[in-house]
Amino acid sequence: MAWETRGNGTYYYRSVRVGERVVKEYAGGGLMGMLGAEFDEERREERAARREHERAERERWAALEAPADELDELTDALAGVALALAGYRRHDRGEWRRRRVRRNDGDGAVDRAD
Amino acid sequence: MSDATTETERSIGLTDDEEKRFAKLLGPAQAGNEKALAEVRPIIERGGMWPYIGNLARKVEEVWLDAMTGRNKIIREGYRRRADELRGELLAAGDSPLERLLVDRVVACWLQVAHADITYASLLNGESHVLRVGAHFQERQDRAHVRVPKAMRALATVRRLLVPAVQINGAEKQIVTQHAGAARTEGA
Repeated sequence: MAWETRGNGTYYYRSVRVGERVVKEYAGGGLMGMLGAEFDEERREERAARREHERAERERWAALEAPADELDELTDALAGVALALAGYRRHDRGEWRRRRVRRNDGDGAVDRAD
Repeated sequence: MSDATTETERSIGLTDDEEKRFAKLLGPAQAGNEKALAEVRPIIERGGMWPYIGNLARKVEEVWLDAMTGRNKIIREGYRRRADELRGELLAAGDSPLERLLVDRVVACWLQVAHADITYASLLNGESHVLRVGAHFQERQDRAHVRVPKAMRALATVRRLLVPAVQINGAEKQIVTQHAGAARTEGA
């Protein structure tokens, strides 16, 4: 968005996106140009404030979720270790199952679950 | 938390080196790596990591209560009591530290869901909002809702597989014992 000098006059143009392209749109000269520029400036400030608000909101959420994520990870890990210590195994994030143990029943070694 | 409390809990908890080592071993130990399990076992048995994780669970509750209620102490107290009731309903006598921690996690997840629901409902009831802001809050709500069943499942799995249960049926003189997933019935 800019003021452009054409001949003896100065005119205000704003950039407008039309599909993939950005085109210049004539807003006016003199008082009309000034009002158009002021309006655009307010819109820009509003958009910047909204972006800033959204960024702050995202950061606030991230700060809230970080300890919750850590708690989730730690408790899952501890439960997993406790189950592993008790002889369970989980394949590919499926159900926990008793680990298969090798036992000798007298007729030779066989693999079986507890 | 005061410095004194931190110091006390540190003295019964893990040293910094142990904490780092423990964090590194958790992944392989979960996957069943025998060496990692052997190293982790004494730390688990000593219970050195419970103070740290217990503090983390309390911190999670506090930050979500703050986010939900702001400066309104009365509403905060209401949510605090409801959270404690929920904890009371989920806890059972003789629960292990792991179960208590998993219950705390369920409570924390419940607070997150409550917060996400309130926030999204307020947004929908308020003035018109930018679509992407609505999508952001809905995404937060969805994420919070996924956490609860996951936390409940972890608690249920631990209780089903690790906690011994005894049921005595007096009329039929039967004792049903269940230990680590294997059930056995004995007639009198």
